[in-house]
This record gives sequence, C-alpha cells and structure tokens, in this order.
Amino acid sequence: MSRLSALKYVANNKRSVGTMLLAFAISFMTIYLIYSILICTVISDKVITEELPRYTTYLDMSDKSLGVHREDYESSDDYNEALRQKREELCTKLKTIDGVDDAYYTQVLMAKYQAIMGMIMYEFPLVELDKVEPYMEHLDAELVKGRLPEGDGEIVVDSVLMKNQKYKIGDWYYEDSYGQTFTIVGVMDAPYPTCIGTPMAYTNSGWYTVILNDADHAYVEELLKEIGMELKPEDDFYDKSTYEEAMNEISGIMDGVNMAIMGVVVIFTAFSVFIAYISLMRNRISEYCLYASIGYSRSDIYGMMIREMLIIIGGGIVLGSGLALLGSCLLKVCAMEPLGLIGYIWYGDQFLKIIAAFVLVIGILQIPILVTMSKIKTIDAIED
Amino acid sequence: MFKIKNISMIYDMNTDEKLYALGGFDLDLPDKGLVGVIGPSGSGKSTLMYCLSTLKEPTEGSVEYNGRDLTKITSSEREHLRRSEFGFVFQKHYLVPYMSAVDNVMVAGLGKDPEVRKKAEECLQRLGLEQREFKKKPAKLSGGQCQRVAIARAMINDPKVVFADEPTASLDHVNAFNVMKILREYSRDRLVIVVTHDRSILEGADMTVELWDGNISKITTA
Repeated sequence: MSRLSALKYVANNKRSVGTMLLAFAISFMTIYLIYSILICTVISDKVITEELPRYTTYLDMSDKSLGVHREDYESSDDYNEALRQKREELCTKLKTIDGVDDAYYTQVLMAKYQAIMGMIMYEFPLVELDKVEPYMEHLDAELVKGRLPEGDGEIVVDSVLMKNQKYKIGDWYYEDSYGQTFTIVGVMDAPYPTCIGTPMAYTNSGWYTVILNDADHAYVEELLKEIGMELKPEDDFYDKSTYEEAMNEISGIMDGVNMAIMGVVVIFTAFSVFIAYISLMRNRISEYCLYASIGYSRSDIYGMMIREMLIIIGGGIVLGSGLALLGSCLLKVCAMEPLGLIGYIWYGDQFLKIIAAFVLVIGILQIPILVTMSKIKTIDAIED
Repeated sequence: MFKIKNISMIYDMNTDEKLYALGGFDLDLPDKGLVGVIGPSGSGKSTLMYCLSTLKEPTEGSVEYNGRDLTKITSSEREHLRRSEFGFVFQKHYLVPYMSAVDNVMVAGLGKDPEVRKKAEECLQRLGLEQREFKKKPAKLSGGQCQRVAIARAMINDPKVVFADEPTASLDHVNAFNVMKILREYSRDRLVIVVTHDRSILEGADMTVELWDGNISKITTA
C-alpha cells in the first residue's frame, strides 16, 4: 500500500497550492461569467425573434412583384396611385386567409432592445388611431399604465422595453436628425418587448405591409402562396424565417466569441500553471528520488503527482463553480434584471464545457509530470 | 545473509578508460551485527552498499540475499525488498521539507495509519526526540535531529538490514557518537551495514571490511 499522500503536500504548501487553485477558480469564473453575458444577449434576443413573427410579419413587395411598372405610367402620381391600389388589393387578399387578423400598408419604427453586449433592433408598426386597440388585442397586450395614443406621434411601450431603455411616460421615444419625435404615453404588457404607436408625418423608418398573423401563419412565402402570389428576390420582408436566420447568426457569433474567449483564458491558465508546475516539480525532485530509493514504485509516485494535480484542479473547479454562481447571481440582479434582460444563473452545458477544457489542461500538465518522472533516479545516482 | 560472488562494477563501460569501482571479489556477510565498510574516497565502499541494497546493479557477479540472487529479481521485487526488508540512511538526511518529523518517518511505513504513526512516534522517542519535536519540520530541527529522523525512517518497518552511507558525515562529534550508538543497538538482532571513511565510528563493529581501489584489502571480525 502506498503511503504517498497527495493531501500532505496540499496541506503543507497552502500558498503555492492556493495560488494554483485560485488560478483555476478565477479562470472558471471568468469563462462562466463571460458566457453568462453572451448567452443573456442570445436568450433575450430569442424571445423577440421567436415571439415577434408569431404575431406580426412585415412585407415590402416591389412594384414589379405587384405588377406595376413605372414605364406604364406618365406621371409619378399615377404610378404611386397604382401602387397604392395594388397594395390595398394585397392587404384585402391577405385578410381572406384564415389565420390573418388584419393587414395594412403603414409606416414602421424600430424598437431598440439593449443587451449587455450589443443591441437588437426590430420593427413595430405605426398605425391609425382606430387600429391601436385592435393591434394590442391581436398581441394579447394589456395597457398597464398611462393611456392609449390619442393623437399623432404617440407611442405605447412594453414594460420590459421601458425598463430596458429606462423610459418614463412623457419621454421622447425617438431622436434623429429631424428632431425629437414620438411621445411615450402608455405602458403595456406584451408577449415580447415591443411598441405600438401612431405615425407622425414622415419619419423615414420605412413602409411595410404589416400582416397581423397567428403563429401558424408566420412565413410570408406561405401566406403569399395561399393568395396565388410569390416572393421575388427584390421583395423585402421580415417573417419567422428572417428572424430564425438572424437568431442563428447571433447564436453562431456568440458561440464563436464564447469559444474564442474560453480558448484564450484556458490557454493562459494552462500556460501559467504549466510554468508553475515545472518549478514545483523541479523543487521536489529529491523528494521523488527518496521515494524511489526507499521502495516506492514509479506508479506510486506518478499516482501521487496525479492525485495532487486533481486536488488542485478539482478544488479550482469547486471554488470556481461557487464564484461563478455567485457572480452569475450578482450579474442577474445588478445588470440583467435592471435592463429587463433574460438570464439564468445555472448553465449546465457551459459548466460541462469548462470542465472539458480543464480536463485538457490536465492533459497538458502531463508534460511537466512526465518530464519529472523521467528525471527520477535513486539517491545513489544523486550522490554519484 | 549476503553472499557476494565475484562482484564487479565498471563505470564508463563504453569508453576506453574503464573505471573499476568494484574489482571482482567474494564476500559473505552475517545475519546480524554491525558491519563497517571502510576505505578512502573512491575505494568503492558506497558502490558496494548500493549493489547490496539493489539501488545499483553490479556489472558482473552475483549478490545473494537469503538465497535469492538480487541481480536477477524483477523491479517490483526490488521495490518490495527495499520497502519491507531494507532500511536506508543516506549521507544527507533527505527529509521531505514540508513534512513534520513524524510524517517523514511515516512516509516509509507499512501498514495502517494509526499503527504506523504509533510506531513512528516510538521510533523517534527511542532515538531521543521529544514529543514537541515530532511536529516540527526539518528546517526547525538541528542536523543531529534530522539524521535521527532519517534513522527512524529507516527503522520504521523493523528491516532486516539497515544500510547507512556515511551516516555521521554531517554531524558533530557528540551527534555522531549518538547516531552510532543507535545503529549499534539496532545491530544486536539485525544487520547494519555502515559505510564510512572514519574508522573511529566503527569502534565495536562486529566486522570491518576495508576496501582499496575497488578490492578488499582487509577483513576484520570481532
């Protein structure tokens, strides 16, 4: 039976063991918290990109797709009138689809939702006064504060978005080169952080055919197919497919950033611990030689080294997990909730990824251990 | 206990100028008693001890220990022998710096923890260390105390043979005398082989083997 206890070294070398353990713990915490920040953006965005097309899709068909050609009209007024009529026809046809509550050609404005890293922008419609209430009904949104728009340029904002953008009732919603426009008059609880408002002259935010669809009719291409039309490459639209694509892109970017950051932190940790380990092993070579001389096998000595390393890395993981969860908790309370963002404390997948990265570090640390093992001789060789 | 036949040890085997550390001689050692191996530096006394203790393998010849040829045993048998039947006291104490005196003794022990601890404490007590010194680390102990801890480590398993290479080299006269007294006592029913160049510490030895240039020049028995 081997009496080479790993705990002896750990218990008697608190400073060097503690430093290495702390290095692992801090790396663990850093990777986890960075992931929490990145994933919070993804989760928060996901609510928007999943919920938005369940209620509303936006379509801007080109004149050609609508069958209106500029060269067929003498004046631009005639051309615009033809376009208007075609768009109205389109809306009328769309409304015949079971699953579409309403459709109208109207101006849109952008909602801005600030994540810890980055910002997501998406459309909401500016509608006639009499359409505000039906739109909110369609959204299953409820006015919780203030009032509904009663004139031009007034907006009702979702409570999460109010929190996210630190708006108050009476604030200007929008500031651009044309000046301050749109006043926030009410707060609603909607399924996702959105707004509804009335237009105010020309705002340069674009015009779309806004389709108030249900969750089963969230693809513009399918809607058009139902009314015998088809999408052309020049048509602009925002539907479930667009948001899915955007979500995949965001997830992909975040995954990439996460892996890159994790890689950098793990490489840095592995490198520092590698250097510390070389020095630690070098200082202990005569100890290992003594063990070899008094009859311990090389596997006994290797086993002790591995156990010591596992205690250090395992301790780092335990401490790191504690710090990471604590940090994640603080992050949620101090940064995510005040911004109305969605984030969790526990991310099992990321936890496993970090452990896998640390297993890789264990693999890297085999190098100084094996180099030291090759240098272990019996004491006669030292004294020779 | 040991039957050495035609033992030779050649260093720098692959060079033209071969160095004969042991020149090829026979030697029988008793089952118990204090055996001194004496000679000047380079005479081969340490090499002989390392060959007997399996730390080195002779180039030629055989070393029989209780009927087994130590040059033909496997490495695990060698390790087992060194752990259970042999004890080592090296020229320097080679104590593990971060371990207490008692832990340094226990590291060589065989058996369950509480038993080994008890035995280690008894050994240290027998060797003159006080209870309050058991928990001290080597840096807090004197040279003599460190060497006594090293002797306790060598004796913890009641080995049949204790090999001591210049055990008094780094000690003052009083400590050297005390260390030899301990080894002499142990040799009453065990074999203690002491390698030294200091004839004075071998006073009362049961057998003295004098080496010169890798060969036995004289054997004296009491």
